[in-house]
Amino acid sequence: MIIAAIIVVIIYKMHYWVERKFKIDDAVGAVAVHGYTGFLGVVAVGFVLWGYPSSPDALLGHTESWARVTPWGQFIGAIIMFWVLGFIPGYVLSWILKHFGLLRIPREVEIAGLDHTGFATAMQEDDEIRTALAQETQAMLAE
Amino acid sequence: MSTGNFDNWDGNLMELGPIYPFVGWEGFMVMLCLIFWVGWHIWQIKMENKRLDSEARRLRQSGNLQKAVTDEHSLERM
Repeated sequence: MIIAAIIVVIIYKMHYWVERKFKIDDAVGAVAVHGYTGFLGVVAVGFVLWGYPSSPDALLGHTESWARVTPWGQFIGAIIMFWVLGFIPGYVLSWILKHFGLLRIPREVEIAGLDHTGFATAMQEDDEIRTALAQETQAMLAE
Repeated sequence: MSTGNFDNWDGNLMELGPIYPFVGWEGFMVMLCLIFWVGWHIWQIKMENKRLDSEARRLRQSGNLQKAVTDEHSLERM
């Protein structure tokens, strides 16, 4: 619980830092929730389970010795997980989609918002709700 | 350095004893978490009430409530 409480503050700050610094819009915070938390969680395991046997060194011919969990080992694992298996394939896939014109929606639609251009009925309902709310507020203020 | 009580996973798992780390510190950690959990809620409630009071105060000022509902003005701009 305490580890989670510390990590959540870090990922919250990192999410907004990346958004402002690199102008990357992670609207649902997926990278923060899965990426940063995943990375820090793997590193945290290195401290909490420091010295635990992880796997036998059978590949090296030492069947009686065991590899140990260490913070630096976990850190290297986290780097491989986040950058090598996550970021790089994601970047390459985005690059391919971009070159096929499939990565982004038209600029104007992006600015107006997909929901506003796509759901005219919902917009009308929004207006009705807003009018009803305004009437209710007026009545409340008049009391 | 090791936070656990054993060196390998050989043998019967049932005979290994507790496999979680920091064996012997359970009571302390439960107390620590309890204090943290209660403290967190007190802090959270105080912070939320402070923010809501400040927003309500701003909305009570002339016409702000009406504007917030009709024009979708965010509180920050008022």
